Amino acid sequence: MDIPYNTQARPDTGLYNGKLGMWLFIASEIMLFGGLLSSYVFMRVGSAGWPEPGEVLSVPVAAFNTLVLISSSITMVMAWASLKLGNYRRFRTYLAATLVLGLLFLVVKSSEYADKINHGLVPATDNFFATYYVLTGLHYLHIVGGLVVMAYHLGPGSRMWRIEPVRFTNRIECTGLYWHFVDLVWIILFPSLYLI
Amino acid sequence: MNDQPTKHIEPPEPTETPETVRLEMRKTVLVHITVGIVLMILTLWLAALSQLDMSTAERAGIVLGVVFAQACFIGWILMHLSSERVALRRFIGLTIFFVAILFGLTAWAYQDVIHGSAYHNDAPVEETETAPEEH
Repeated sequence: MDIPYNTQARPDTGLYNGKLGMWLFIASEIMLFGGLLSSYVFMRVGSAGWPEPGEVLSVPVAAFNTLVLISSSITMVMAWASLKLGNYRRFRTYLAATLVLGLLFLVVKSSEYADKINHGLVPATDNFFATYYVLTGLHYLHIVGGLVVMAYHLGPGSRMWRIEPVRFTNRIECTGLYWHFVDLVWIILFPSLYLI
Repeated sequence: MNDQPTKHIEPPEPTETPETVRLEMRKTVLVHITVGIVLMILTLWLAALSQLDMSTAERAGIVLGVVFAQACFIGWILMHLSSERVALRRFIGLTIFFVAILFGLTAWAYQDVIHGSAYHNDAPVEETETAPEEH
């Protein structure tokens, strides 16, 4: 049985179903991170003893991680553009590069967590570290989820390219949308937690 | 005769020739790389800002402005909202409106504090003089 509207746009929405579903998911994610960020602001503004972020967190490390994620967003776009041009080999190269950059982000973030925990700075330390671990930890899990999907597209999922190339290209576009959103969340978290 | 079900592959839209797709993709990739570079420069500028000596309020103002610009670049260009359907843009705009309400409620909570409670013990302490008891 063929699933309708996974390559063609639905007449009523003007979008194929996968893209509409991804945007709905992103909307729910905006509410999730928005709620957490507003509670962070609530605690940040109301606390008299909030630590200076630059003194307890490493700004250069976080800035490096931001650059890594922005680079991965660019390689993701290149991967999608390669598929649109029918260049499958180049697509694999760019998607693998995105995967490696995502893994690099996780490695740097994990080492940052390990450093904090070794210094006894855990979620129970104070409100700052509680919100820091919740916000960055949730973002970390989103990165892991994105990498699992990319690994699937590089591995068993790539067979779809031979059977339904348009549908496969659409899947990569949806993956890219998700990845850009994860990048956007980090772009907001970085200054909120490390700079202000 | 082959009676195996054949997979239907969608043909490209009639207006999309390989040449137009190639030109369109070239333009898209160039725009995306430019946006990526701008985002990186803004990130480095933000990181440098943390080294400057300024008040938290001043820094917060600048940082929020830059973050808003970065978010617009990512949403509008990298996530292609600029070329999406108007209904989708309205739908995302409505979601952001509700997030703004969440932040508004946070601000409102600070306008409506319960003075004298365990969390906002900033009410002036009134000195109560007890009148001598009359006998």
